[in-house]
Amino acid sequence: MKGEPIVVLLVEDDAAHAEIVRRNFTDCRLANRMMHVDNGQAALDYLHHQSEFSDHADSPRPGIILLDLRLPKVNGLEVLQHIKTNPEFSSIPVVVLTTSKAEQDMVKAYALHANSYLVKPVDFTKFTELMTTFGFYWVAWNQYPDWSE
Amino acid sequence: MTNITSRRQLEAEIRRSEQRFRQLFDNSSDAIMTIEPPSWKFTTGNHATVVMFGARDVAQFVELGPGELSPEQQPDGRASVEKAQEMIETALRVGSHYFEWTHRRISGELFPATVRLSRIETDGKVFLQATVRDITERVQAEEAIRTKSEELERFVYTVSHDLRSPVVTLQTFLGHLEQDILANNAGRMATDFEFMHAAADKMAQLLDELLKLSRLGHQFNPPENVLLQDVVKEVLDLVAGRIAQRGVQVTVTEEPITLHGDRARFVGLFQNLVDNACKFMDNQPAPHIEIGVETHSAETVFFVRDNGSGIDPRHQAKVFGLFEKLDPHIEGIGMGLTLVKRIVELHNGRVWVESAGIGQGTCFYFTLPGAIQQANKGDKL
Repeated sequence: MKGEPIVVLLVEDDAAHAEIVRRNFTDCRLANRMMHVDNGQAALDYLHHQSEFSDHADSPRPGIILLDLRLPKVNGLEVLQHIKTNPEFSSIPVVVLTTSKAEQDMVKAYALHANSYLVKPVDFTKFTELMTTFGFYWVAWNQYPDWSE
Repeated sequence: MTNITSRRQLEAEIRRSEQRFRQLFDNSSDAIMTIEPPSWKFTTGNHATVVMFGARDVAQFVELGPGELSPEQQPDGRASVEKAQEMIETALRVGSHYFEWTHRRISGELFPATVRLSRIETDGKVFLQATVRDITERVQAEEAIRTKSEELERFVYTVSHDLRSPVVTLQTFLGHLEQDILANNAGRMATDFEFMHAAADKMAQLLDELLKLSRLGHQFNPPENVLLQDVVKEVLDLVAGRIAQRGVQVTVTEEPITLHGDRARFVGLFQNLVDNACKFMDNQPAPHIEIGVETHSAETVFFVRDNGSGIDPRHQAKVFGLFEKLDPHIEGIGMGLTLVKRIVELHNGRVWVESAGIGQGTCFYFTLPGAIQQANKGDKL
């Protein structure tokens, strides 16, 4: 399976913000497959192939997770904790993408082993730049082992 | 003759003086007591002491020592007996010692107190005087302030995050719009506008709701006695559209209950709950809402029960949080149940939710002791 583009799982409840990320990925022509879920419970269901994600073909293992913090049902920090304490998923890089600049969120996210913490900029150019940089770094440049092996 | 007279006068003077000091001792609102060696048990206590510890009389009180009027342990985890000994030793050495202490009344009830131990020496005998003040009210007030300030902190955090979110959307799609105009991409322009409109609407809605929440603390209408059924009738008129649209059958208790307070608040309370129940009917073929009253161990408990989509027990604790939405696809910004909680708390009540799970319907219970007690008082007048 080596050479397959990695799957980016976006966990974002705000439809507009999900669209921003989607457009940036499309504009960058980054070969990736973005999967989107809009709440924390759905993210966990996706990873465990439960409920609506019971078909493994519809929920390929993500190579990286872009995680919002303020999410319905199960919040982002809870999702992060679940991922990082579960040996099956703990190696998946989790990049927090949130509007929260609160110190307490940053401290908690890193304590739960977030791999990166990004704040959504209130500026079109900067947001585009951030997503492009993210895409190049995590999707194009960063190397991942073959998860399927 | 003169000697006897002056001696009698002196004795009378001493008696008066002793009476005066006895009155000062007895009438003090602080509990004053003495502790004496070698047993370090209480040897006297004034009226306030007897009342504070809930003793029958002074005789019952003086049979006890500090250890018997304290829990096993103090809040810092140290054994009361051992710590009391240390406090006594410090007071004897230094002359006076002031500290906080958790005491136990004879009934077993614990209460926080401040204690001042003073070393007194008469006729070569050393003993301690203890002045104990019950600070339950102060501790409760401090606790209330702490809770409020934590609430405020959470509120500011939530508001700053949730208001920032639509600003990010507006700014970003404005940028996209500029690009799409240049590229003459009409299809994307329409989407840009859609997202921008939604974000602007959301901001307006957030600000409106925040204003509502901040106004809740102030009473605008004079308090009055209102019948529960009249409040519910007004609510059902307000949400008639939604009820008709969804074909919801509503049943209301006939038990006559009078509420005392701001009618608009009661209407807001029931409106949010009924509105919520209508929103979460899912595809229930026979939607039904029941508004009623139950008595749980002498307490009047109101409820709004529906047979709608229910709430997963794992997520029930979150429903009252500000801007918490369990389903992002349902309209609203997640303020309704926060308002409900605020209104209930303004009447010294509690609100909780019960649902067996998804598809099992939901029941919101709440109490309004403040509104009911005052209504009862009003009835008697």
